[in-house]
Order: sequence, then structure tokens, then C-alpha cells
Amino acid sequence: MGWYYREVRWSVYSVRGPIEPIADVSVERDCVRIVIDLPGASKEDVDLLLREDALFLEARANVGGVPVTYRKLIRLPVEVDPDAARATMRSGMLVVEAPVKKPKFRRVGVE
Amino acid sequence: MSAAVREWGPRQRNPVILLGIPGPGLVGVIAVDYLIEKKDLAEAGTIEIPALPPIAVVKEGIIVSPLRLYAGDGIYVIKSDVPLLPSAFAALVEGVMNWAIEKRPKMAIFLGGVPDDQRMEVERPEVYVIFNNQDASQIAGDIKASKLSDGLLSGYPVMFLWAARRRGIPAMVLMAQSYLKYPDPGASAEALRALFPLIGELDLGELEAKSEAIRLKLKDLMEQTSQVMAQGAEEMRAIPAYIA
Repeated sequence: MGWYYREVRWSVYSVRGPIEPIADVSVERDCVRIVIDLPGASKEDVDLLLREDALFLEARANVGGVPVTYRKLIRLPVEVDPDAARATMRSGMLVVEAPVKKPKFRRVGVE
Repeated sequence: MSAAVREWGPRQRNPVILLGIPGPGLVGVIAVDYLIEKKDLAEAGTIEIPALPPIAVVKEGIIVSPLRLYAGDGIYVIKSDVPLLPSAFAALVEGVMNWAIEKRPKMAIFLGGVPDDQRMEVERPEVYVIFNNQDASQIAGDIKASKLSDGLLSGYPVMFLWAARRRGIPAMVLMAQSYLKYPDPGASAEALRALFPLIGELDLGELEAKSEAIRLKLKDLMEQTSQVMAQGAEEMRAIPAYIA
């Protein structure tokens, strides 16, 4: 059995690089909803990129006087329409809602 | 096999006993941590569970148990730094209640969160309470929590309440509306506020002011807890919940 040690500094959050924030992805009817916890960040600090199958986020925040960078790449469970997506910020939580992309059937002629 | 409580320091009679473990929103852990700090409670013992995986907290180069007992001001607090699977939690509550009998506690309290999808829309989370008998309901008196009426309760709160009831210990479960997967200091503050008649008043300003730092600091614990909750739900085929 291996062993594992992680240093945790309780008094000051020791920042050594970008932090991957907690995120939750849910598929609700025709919409994918992604909620990401970004303590200390405001909407002006968030850089959000969305494509059909993934979301990429980078954000800067100040938490208790300590500068923090958040960075996360999330693969989506279904394809979405990024042009119709909406993002809002509430109490330090980013909520992104994007409609599920409807698959299109194309008629194929038989030769 | 139940947990073993090893206590040192002065004993307290008729205390209020609080239990906080990682769960939805880390409500219990954040609340008891804050209580320990504000009331300056001293470390008074450890709890050992045979079913616990080999995990220890390291403090200044020395391993300590992840389950610890704090005492002072007529209060005992039992805090876990690690999430517990149902089997470990069952061993914990049996051991704690066996230890608590001789102290004739005024009340045993399990603090936690009840996940609510609408939590983001709520400025001040609601706090709910369930008692294990009529005596507990009377002792609790003026606590600011809504008594849940008829329904079905599942999960860790049930284990806690039954373990106390079998030993004639008045007990209650106090649950604040919370996030499931994100640390929720706001819910912890409301849970503590509801308990003022039993534990005395506390200045909650610092808890509210440091909310962002707490959420960031407890990110890793929340992620581990979410994994353990999913495993635990499989074991028990339920997530701690109340259905009215």
C-alpha cells in the first residue's frame, strides 16, 4: 500500500499554482447546467470559453488578501449550443446554462 | 465494533454534546470548528474507530487522530477531519453514546446540512430540527429551528438519533438548508444561530466575513466528502435526506 502526504497550511491558503475549483455538471431536460464555485471572484474577473463539448474557465480572485487563480477544463456529457449559452454570477458561484444541441438527421441518397 | 473515546482533562457534568462530521456543504464541520475557536475549547481527547482507513492528521510533525474531542464551557465537541462511510459512522455514534451515558448530557446534537437545489436563491438558509423523544423537544426550548412534521428521514441523522434513544439520551439533529457539493459557511452560521439558547451567544461576524477563505480552504475536503457520500449512498441506498 502506498503512502500519501499533503501539506495543508490552515492559517494561510498556500497557493502554488492555479486552483481547480469545484464544479458540478447536470443535464436538465434540454439544457446543460454547470455550477462552479469561485470564492472571491466577480464576473469581471472571469474568462469563460465554451465549445460544443467542453468549457474552459480562468478567473482571478482575491481571497483574504491572497491572490488566487482558478483554472478548469470541463468535458461536457452532451453537446451544447455555445452561441445560446448564458452565464451568471451569484454569491461567488458561476452558473452556466447552455441548451443541448439537437442532433440533425441528414437525408442520404442511396446510389 | 464501536469506537473508543479516550478522554483527558477535567470532566463536565450535564454537558451539551455536539457532533460535526464532513457532509453536505461541510455544514457540521465548519460550525463546530468555529465554535471551538470562539469558545476557546481545549482539546480533551481522541476517538479511535477500528473501521477507519489508515488516515491521520499531522500537526507539527506528529500524527493525531482525525477524530478529536474538545471541551469547555459546559460543551463537548466531537469533530472529524475526514469523511466517514456509514460503517465508520455507526461505530462512531455507538462509541460516543456509550461514553456519553455517564455524563448525563443535557442534549446530544448532530449538526449537518440538508441539500437543497434552491439554496443559491436563498439569502438566509432555513434550519430544521428533529428530536429523538419528547424530553429532547422540551429541553431544546427556544431554539430557532423549524420542527419537521410527518415524513421519512434517512441516513446518518437516523443512526445518531436511534443510538441516543436506546441509551435514554435526549438528542436532536439540526440541519440547515445547504449546498450538497460546495462548502457552505452561510448554512453553518444559521445552524449555530439556531443553537444560541443551548450553547450561548456567539459573534458570527467573523464566520460570515471569512466565508470565501473558508470555502477555498475546504475545497479538497469537500471533494473527498462528495466521493465518500456517493460511496455511502451506494452502501445505504440513500443520501441523508428528509422527505415530507
